[in-house]
Amino acid sequence: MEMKKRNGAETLVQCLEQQGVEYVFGYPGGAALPIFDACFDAKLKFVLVRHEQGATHIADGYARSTGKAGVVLVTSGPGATNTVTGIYTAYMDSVPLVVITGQVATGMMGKDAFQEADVLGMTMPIVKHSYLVTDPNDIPRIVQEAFYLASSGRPGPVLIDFPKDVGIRECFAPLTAEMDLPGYLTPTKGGRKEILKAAKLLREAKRPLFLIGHGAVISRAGKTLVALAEKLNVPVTNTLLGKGAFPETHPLSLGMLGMHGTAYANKAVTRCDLICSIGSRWDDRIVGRYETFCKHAKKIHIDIDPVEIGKVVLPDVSIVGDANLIAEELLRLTQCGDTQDWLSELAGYRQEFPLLYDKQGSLTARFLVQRLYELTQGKAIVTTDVGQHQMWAAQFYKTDYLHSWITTGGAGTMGFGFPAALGAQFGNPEKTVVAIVGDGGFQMTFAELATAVINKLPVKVLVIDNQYLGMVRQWQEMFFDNRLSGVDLIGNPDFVKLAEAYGAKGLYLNDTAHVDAVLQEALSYQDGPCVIHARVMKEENVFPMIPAGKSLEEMVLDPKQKQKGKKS
Amino acid sequence: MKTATINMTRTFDVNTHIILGKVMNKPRVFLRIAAILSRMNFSVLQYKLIPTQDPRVHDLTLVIEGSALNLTAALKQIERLVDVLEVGKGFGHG
Repeated sequence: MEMKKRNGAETLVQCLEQQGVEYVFGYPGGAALPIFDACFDAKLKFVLVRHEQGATHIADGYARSTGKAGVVLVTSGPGATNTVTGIYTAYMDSVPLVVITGQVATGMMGKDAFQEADVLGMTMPIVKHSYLVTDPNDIPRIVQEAFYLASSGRPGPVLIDFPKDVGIRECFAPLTAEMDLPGYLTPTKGGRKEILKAAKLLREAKRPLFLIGHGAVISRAGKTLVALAEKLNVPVTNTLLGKGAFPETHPLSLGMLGMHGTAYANKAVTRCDLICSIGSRWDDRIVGRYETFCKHAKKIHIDIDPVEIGKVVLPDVSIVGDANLIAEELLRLTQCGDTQDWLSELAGYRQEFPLLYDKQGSLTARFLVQRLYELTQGKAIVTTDVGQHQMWAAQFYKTDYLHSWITTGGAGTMGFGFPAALGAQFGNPEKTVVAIVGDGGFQMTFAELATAVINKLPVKVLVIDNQYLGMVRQWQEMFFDNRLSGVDLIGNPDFVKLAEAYGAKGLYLNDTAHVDAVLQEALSYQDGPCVIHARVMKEENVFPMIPAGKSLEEMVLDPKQKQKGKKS
Repeated sequence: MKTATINMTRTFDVNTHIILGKVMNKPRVFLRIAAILSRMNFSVLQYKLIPTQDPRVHDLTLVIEGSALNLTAALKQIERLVDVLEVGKGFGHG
């Protein structure tokens, strides 16, 4: 029994410390005052952001780059509603977050009190679970459960709504509590029978293909997957979020598939006779038209979440469990395969349809990313927003390491990349962290430059400025007769001056000749954030491209490759 | 007093389904279930929670209306909820 008196807020903060929380990202306000008071004496570091959305993305980047849950603390009402985009982003990509929202006192709830918002109701469809704390003695159990739920099984955000009076009232419960989650089970090894069936299909296949998704990153299946692919000689393609689970420089890697995946990965998908998904949810951006997707191939689906089985694609064999444990079992049960003909066929596609970029002429985003990749030797943690720059980053910044590619996949949230990079830098102070962002997205969350400067985070921000909302412009050009509507970003600020106004370093770049010098200067700057304002070609498009809702066979190639494509 | 005209004509190919389950006796359990059903375009015709001998657990009965094509997916999502212990199809008609 603990003798020292403590209130609910102190209990909450001590429970967070007991969970090993190093950083809490957030913004204060009236309803959260007791918690902020408790933070005053705490060992954990509270990081003040400039907008609550930034806090959730910073916590998200921290979580994705470390594998630990990110923690957010905000006040009630607008403080809580501002976290919704960040919670949704984390939910769509299965990222462990614990979001603590202040709430008005329990006696005032339901009375439209000042800054009262039904945040539980608002976030219900985008959280893994949520709590309203009404008794301070429940705090230790709720915190314990929240971290367990957020991080185990298929991770996700958990919200704790914390009324002001609960923080003030005394708590008598010990800091450690038993969890009470009889309705929550996390599958682990997967069914033996199904694994044997999968092993048989893998053995029989002539043109097998592994499809690696975010689940493989979360379960840290990297080494097992390399061993498995090498043993069976099976080529590997990865989703946007699966980057890093299998080294993209490995000879068996085909890189990313899908809407803007490599042409050879998409060719492999259309030609394979077996596709084995490990931790991917067959998202519409990779499947295209699901009726025609891998129509003649056997399908194996390995996923920790039973909800995903049969949701989009009906598999021949499904295994519910942890990607790494199941891959280990498959490694034990499968034999070396003869896939030489298949690999030769794929090598032909790789040669015929490489990813292209111009080394000379006007500055292009592709060249920039390629040089960044080479100068950092592929070892940086890269974060992105959503859009053209994201796809070029995914194509040209090959990812070889787990937890080093951080992007908003399911949600496609503009403004994610820069704050996520701050979170990644908090979690990995020794590593180089680069945010590759668009001129549109950066302007949604650049206020966190202040957070980066104050905390002396040496994050590099590569702003790909094409003066357009580029991906939307590309779609309007390709599918709406180039009727450009609402995409012109004329009036962009001078991002160098913007950086300098916050006390950050700013560098300008608008030609190919100076790319290396500017990137190197940015990479060697360690005193705080550095923003590179890169004015690139205005109307560069991302290729290859599979138009939304079309089958993979309808892939549109780079105009420079079109003639070749027609011949194949 | 609110007044409303209800169109009783059924124009969609719908089915009625009974869902049975056990859920934790926690606030917002029904809200979580209803949110999933709403997203999958089901209407809830009846909803019943009956206490069991275990005060922590309630028996759940739901009568819902909507496309049978979405039913399995909806049940899986409901089963995934932390406060739901088990859920399955009861006898349905239509």
